[in-house]
Amino acid sequence: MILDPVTNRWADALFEVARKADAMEAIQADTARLSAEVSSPKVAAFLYGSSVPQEERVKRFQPLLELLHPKTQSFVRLLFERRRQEVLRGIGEAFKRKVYEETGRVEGVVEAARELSPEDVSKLESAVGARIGKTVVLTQRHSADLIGGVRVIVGARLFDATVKGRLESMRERLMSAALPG
Amino acid sequence: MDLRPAEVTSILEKEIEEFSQDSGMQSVGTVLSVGDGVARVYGLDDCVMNELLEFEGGVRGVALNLEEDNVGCVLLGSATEVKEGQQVKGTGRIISVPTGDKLLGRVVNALGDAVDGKGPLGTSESDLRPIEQDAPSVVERQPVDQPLQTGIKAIDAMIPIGRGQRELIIGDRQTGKTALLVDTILSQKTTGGGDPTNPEQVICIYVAVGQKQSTVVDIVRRLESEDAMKYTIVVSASAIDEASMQYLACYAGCAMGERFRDEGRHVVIFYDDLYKQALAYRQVMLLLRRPPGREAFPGDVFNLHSRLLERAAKLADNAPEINPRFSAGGGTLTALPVVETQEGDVSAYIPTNVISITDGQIFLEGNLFNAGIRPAVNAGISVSRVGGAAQIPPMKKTAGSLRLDLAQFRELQAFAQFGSDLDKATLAKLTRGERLVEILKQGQYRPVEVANQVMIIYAGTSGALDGIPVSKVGEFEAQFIDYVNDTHPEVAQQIRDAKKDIPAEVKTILDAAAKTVTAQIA
Repeated sequence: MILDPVTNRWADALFEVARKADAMEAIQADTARLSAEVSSPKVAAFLYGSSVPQEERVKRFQPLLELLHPKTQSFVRLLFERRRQEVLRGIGEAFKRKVYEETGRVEGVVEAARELSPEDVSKLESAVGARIGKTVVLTQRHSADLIGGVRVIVGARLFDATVKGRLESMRERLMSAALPG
Repeated sequence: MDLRPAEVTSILEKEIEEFSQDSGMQSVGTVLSVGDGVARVYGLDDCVMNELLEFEGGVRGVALNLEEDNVGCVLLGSATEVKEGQQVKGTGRIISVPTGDKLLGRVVNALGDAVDGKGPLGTSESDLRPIEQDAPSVVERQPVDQPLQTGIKAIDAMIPIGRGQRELIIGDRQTGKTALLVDTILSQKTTGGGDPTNPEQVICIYVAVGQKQSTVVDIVRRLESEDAMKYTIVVSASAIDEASMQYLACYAGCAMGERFRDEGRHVVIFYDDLYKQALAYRQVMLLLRRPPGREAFPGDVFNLHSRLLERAAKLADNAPEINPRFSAGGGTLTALPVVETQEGDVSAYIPTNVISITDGQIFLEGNLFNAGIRPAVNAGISVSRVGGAAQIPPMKKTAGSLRLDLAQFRELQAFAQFGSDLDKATLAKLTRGERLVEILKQGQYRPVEVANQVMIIYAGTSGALDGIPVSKVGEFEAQFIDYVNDTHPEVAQQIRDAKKDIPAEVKTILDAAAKTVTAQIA
């Protein structure tokens, strides 16, 4: 998910608030819940459409807000007041990334042609983590066209150990090789 | 091209042996948006400026804008295959082109891929050179003192170009700018007999930017028919190519030239033309949302041209000792950029920029062209700031009086139009001037060897032509040069070797020959 700078700024501020209030876990859970809540198209239309008055939105959000941490409540109220409710969409992800960043963890994806066992995944996590110097948390994705091997994408780094990748690089080198004579 | 299965097998074998198990780490990103030949990519954290990027489907791109959360890049191929969300790989190398002898006689595009249908270039990985390179530093250079003979009398005599110089060719459309370049290429055959393996042979690189494809084809055909393609490379980014290719072609051509320069060879590179290159650069930069400046060009359009032209140089003889990047000293790269003006306006943005960067300019004028004075060089406002040191001594001596006679003629010509009563001295100056102007006329694709140039200019300035009708000057010139070379074949070499003026005995021969030919014509 690509996050816009505005969302990141709000997430940074909320993160600092959570740290001071010592309620990191509660607020992280809140942000995840909020983002999940607004991801449905119906709620999105209600939140971002121009036909609904702002007061109406705040009122309809009230029951949900009461379930959240007081600091999260203030955060959401401020968002509505500043008409920045679109931040809600990515706040869960942005907050999670911020927490990961602070704790030296980083998320990634592992792609393989077959299902990997949890042990394999954790082995990969520690191997990749050792190379980039961070704790890596991998999610698995199935991709049959890799033929064999695994491919790990962490942030903007790609570790390609697939048969498909090998074949491609071999093809490239064959195409560019100069023929003798 | 013959493909022998045994060779392919040997390459395959090598590949399989080198097939290692370790996984390489690559920098990747995701396409955020694509359109108009530019793409924005999220990720690519380790990306560097001008890095070559690879999109899915084989399309390549160059990173030009490194921003906080995305990378702006131009596509070097069809944008239709690139889609939002696709993966982009960083190659970790600056955009490079193949260089070396194998490119001679070939037509390539801005990425160095052959486009002449004659098969692959056959260059290897070690022939690749980055297209952006630092220009030689102050200590790695030496002053320009060797002539680059263009074979054009008006230029070699009055606006001489030295090897390692940057001389701008500026003029409106249809004033003979490209014709002048082609003549210069043809003239280089005299340096090494047209043999590219001869170290004395000047290598020519013609970079066509935004030209019509038909123009490029015409030039290549002409060079082939005159046997000049053997020592020439044509880099073509014609009007049909992407703006990014048009903007990069000049740097690609320059990198190819630098390879020869650094090996101690002599190269002349033609950028035809830099105005179109600036337009292509403006298009790319506006699409990348860089802030526009004067005439909507980006702020660094001056640097765009200055860093390109600064790479033209004459290397010091001890350059390899100073910097191991040079394998031999004394090599030169001469740049002849072309700028097309609109309605003769040399004070527009790009022309003034390039005028201030180069070591002089050759101004071609539409009025002269239409009046039949071709090449239409305006000798009055054309200058060469460093070429004087590079002229052969007899030419320098002879051309000194030519310049003076022509200046006086131009002054009197305007004056003489008002009255018919002219004194004898004025009439004599007009007569001389008319003949000198006639001498400087020259047919296309007919470069004149420098010794022959000296002979005819000597004849003109010594007054030998004053008694010949203007209409017969061309005939005189042809017969005079043939006569001298037939009867005294040693004269040409004596002129070339002369340390000062034309030797007195040669002058006597030339004077006598002029009399004989005058008598024949009359």
